[in-house]
Amino acid sequence: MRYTIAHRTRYRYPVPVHESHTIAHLQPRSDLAQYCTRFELSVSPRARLYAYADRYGNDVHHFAVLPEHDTLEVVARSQVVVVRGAAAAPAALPRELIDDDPALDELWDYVHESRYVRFCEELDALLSSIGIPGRGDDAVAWFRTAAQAIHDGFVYESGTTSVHATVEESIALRRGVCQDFAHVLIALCRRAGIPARYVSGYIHSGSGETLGAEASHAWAEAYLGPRGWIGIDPTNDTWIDEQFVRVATGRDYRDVAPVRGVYTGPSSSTMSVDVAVEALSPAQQAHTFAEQQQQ
Amino acid sequence: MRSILDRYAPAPAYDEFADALGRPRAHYAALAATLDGISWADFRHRVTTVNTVLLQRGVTFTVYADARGTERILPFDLIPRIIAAHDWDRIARGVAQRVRALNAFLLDVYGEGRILRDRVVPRELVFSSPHYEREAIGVRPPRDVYVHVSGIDLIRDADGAFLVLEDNARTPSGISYVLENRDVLKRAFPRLFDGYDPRPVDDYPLRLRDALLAAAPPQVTEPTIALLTPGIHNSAYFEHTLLARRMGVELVEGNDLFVRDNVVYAKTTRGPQRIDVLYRRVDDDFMDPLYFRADSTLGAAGIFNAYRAGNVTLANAIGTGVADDKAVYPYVPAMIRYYLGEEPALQNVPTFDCSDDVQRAHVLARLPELVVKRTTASGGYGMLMGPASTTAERAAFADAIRARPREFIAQPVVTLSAHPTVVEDGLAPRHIDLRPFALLVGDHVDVPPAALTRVALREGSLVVNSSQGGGSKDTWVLAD
Repeated sequence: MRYTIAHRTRYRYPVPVHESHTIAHLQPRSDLAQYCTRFELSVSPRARLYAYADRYGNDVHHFAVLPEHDTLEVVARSQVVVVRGAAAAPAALPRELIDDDPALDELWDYVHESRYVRFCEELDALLSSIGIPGRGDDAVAWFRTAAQAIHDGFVYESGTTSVHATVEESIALRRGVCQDFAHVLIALCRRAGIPARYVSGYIHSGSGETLGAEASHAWAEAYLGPRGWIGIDPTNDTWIDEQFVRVATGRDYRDVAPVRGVYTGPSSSTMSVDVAVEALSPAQQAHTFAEQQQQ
Repeated sequence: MRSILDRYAPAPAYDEFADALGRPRAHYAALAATLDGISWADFRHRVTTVNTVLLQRGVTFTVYADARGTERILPFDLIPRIIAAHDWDRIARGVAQRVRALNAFLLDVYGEGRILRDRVVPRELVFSSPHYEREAIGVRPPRDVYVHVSGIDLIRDADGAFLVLEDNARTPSGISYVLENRDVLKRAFPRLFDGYDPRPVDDYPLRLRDALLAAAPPQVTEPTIALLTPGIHNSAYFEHTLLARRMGVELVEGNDLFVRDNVVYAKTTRGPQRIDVLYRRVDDDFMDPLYFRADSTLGAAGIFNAYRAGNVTLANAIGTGVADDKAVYPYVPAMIRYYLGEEPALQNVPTFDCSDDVQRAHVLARLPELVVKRTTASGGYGMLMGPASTTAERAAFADAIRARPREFIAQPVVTLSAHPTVVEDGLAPRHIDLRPFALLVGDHVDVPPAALTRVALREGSLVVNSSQGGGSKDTWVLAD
């Protein structure tokens, strides 16, 4: 699949602010299953853009607007080719193959707490209702079961939690958005000793039923030993397939927030976000390809 | 006439001044002779003069646990501590070796992580350290220098052997006392120097400046240094002003700085001044609200970007706290062997790591004999002195250790060496430590003969921290 994605974030300030510094995790990753063929970031007011690769391999951009301004607009446009197949469960994997994996030692951060992934009694209660996979148990099936428990037991509802909802709050309320569901699933995995990380990205809505398609989306990946990092979306209860575009991975939301920053001035501001993910039809794809060939 | 030495009785510890028979050690003989000729009345008069001078100069520190927030002078004891040349040689060699190893460790844990993969230092300890700054992973500081300035705290055990008590690899303070103590003692009591020519301390600021210049980004030809202070409310503000003045560099606060195009600038009356080296006395967490504490105004937004881009040297570099984490301390001798292939010239105090099950059980069974320290605390706060503790205090610590073992280490009580110190009615032995400062200049470690001696003024006390009733002494390093 080939997608064009437009992601606009706009901040408005009631009185002018200055010296704003912003970090953006907006450039889709290029890996074995997807390739970012085009990426363009535009910022208003105009600012010089800088980029670096962070410790997770994400392409991060940052910029500063020093003079006074009362709006800040960040627009990311990307084209991504996704070559993942249809959603399918990976082959079964006895849990001990994760525990015995030589790479496990270096994944310390992914089996411990992080800023938004905290262990708590609510988590332990949820985990014991799902069960902890032991020796010989299939870790792949367990991961799917854990995601299903969130999908079936939690209500997707925006506005119930803030950006900074904790795992404890999300479980207590049994409500949240994709980000909260991802944090809960990651917490379940880590508490069970299975490395897990946060993925920020986009989902293309094939039908009207897809949740999280109007904004940037988030899900979880678990490190399943020889199967590698496997993604699952607890919000839509599906393995990650060609409808998903990965943008950035990290320990939790904090590491990969699409746009975040600081500025000097009064604290009040309003933010609006628009995301459009469009799949190019085969005809358009051929057209685009031909066009690029001519360049 | 009653001499002030008349009633000095050496301590049941290694006495720096007197040998086992009560006779002055060779390097103290001239001082003993001088003191013999000074009356107690005359001496008391000098004490009063010196304290007045120090207060007028503003050599003060703030005690954080003191709700009144008052400024006090750090008590200055007039009897100098003297270090023989051969002892200093060993100290300087051991400190230099340790600092090279700590710098190599930082380069490694923020880079390849070899020492973790080889399981010489447990990954758990490093990754669970509150000072292991993940933003700094993969970010190499200019010239690979992390620990530009450090202070290595040494004590002397009952046999007189120097041991490392702890490392300070973030923003060690105290050098201003070294400079002031020497200056004040020379003016107020020149006679004490009869027969001595201690190595000078007053070139420390220039040596510090050399170290900072040497650490500048390689592409900069004429680097500009600034000293970043948290401001007048910081307990070491006096030191910040003194060092900035003596180095001839700008003293700045967070509000004076801004970052444009990945370059750090200071706002000055002559317009923006590019800063190439920032000697910062602000903790990592407060350096850049964009990456660390968002509510901090002590640093400047974007500084970390400038640092990552290689456009500014931060001294010390971001993330050095993982090297002086008290839970990592027990592994420093192993680091020295691992990175340098050398045997440590200075030994550690034996230390139990409470995150280890076997060691924790040992600690919990022997609390009355041990000193328990919080790995995250400094300044003598949050300690349990086993032999002086109550049952209730021990019970509280035992619970805390069981709940959060990673946050505690324990050590046997080491009876620090003692030194004649002015008390109410003459001189009496009081326990002391020693903080030499080390400057990393490229591959070379400069250990200026400007070390701080802290003294526990309360009789029998083994805690020398200024926040716990400690004072300081002028420290003479002899040339031969």
